[in-house]
Amino acid sequence: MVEGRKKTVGMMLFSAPFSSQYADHMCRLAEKALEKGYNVEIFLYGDAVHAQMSEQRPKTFFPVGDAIGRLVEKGAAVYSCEICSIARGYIKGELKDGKKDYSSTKVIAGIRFCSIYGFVEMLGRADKVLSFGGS
Amino acid sequence: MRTCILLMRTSSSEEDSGRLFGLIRRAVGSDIAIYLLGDGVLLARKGQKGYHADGINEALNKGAKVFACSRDLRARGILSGEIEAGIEATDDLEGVFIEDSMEKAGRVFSW
Repeated sequence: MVEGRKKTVGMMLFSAPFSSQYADHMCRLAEKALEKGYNVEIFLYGDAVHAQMSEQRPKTFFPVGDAIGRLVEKGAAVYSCEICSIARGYIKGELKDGKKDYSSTKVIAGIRFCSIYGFVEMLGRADKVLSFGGS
Repeated sequence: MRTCILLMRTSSSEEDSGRLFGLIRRAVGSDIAIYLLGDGVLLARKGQKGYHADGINEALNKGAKVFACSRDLRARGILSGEIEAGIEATDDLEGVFIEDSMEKAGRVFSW
C-alpha cells in the first residue's frame, strides 16, 4: 500500500452464500485487502444477510461464515441491513429501553446492523466500491 | 485514466453481453485491466466464437491487460495451454486486483 492516509474499500454483497460464488469472491478479496493494509467495510443486503448466520457448516463449499468471522476479527466493519435481517428472522429490531434490539443467537459476533442509510454513509467513506451479485 | 474491470461471470445472453462488452469497448483505448475471477475465467479459453469471446479478444487486440485466476482456471479444468494468448494466469489475482484498483485505477467496475 502507498504510504499516507489509509484507504478504504467498500464491498456490497447482494447474493446469498452457497447459491453462487459471489460471497466467496468478496471474502477472499476482503481478506487480501486487509492483508495489504486497507480498511474494509462490507454491507450485506437482501439474501446476502444469510452470510451472517452463525454455525454455518458447509461440507464442500467455501466456508463463508468462517471467512466473515475472520474478517470481523481482523478489523473489517461488516454491516447488515436491519430490515433484511428482521425479515429473515435473524433479529427482532424492536425498541427495547429506547434502543433497537439487535441481540441474536443466530448471527456471527461483531456484525453491525443498520438501515440502508448506513450503506450510503459507507459509500461516503470508501475510496473504491465493489458490488457482488444480485439479479 | 486507468479502468479496472472485475468479471466474475460470463454473459448470459447477447443483450447481457452487449451491456458488458459495451462497457469494455468504451474503456478500451484508455488504460484498462480486466480481471477474470470465478466463472469469469471461462472467458479465457482460447478458440471461442461469438459474443462471449468477441469482447475479450477485442480488448486484447486493443492493448488491454487481461488476468485470470489460476485457482479458478484449474477448478474448471482449463489448462495453461488452453488459455487465449495475451491472457496472464496468476495465483494472486485478488491481490493484484486490489492493489491495482486501490492505487492506480480511477474507475473500477465489478460484474
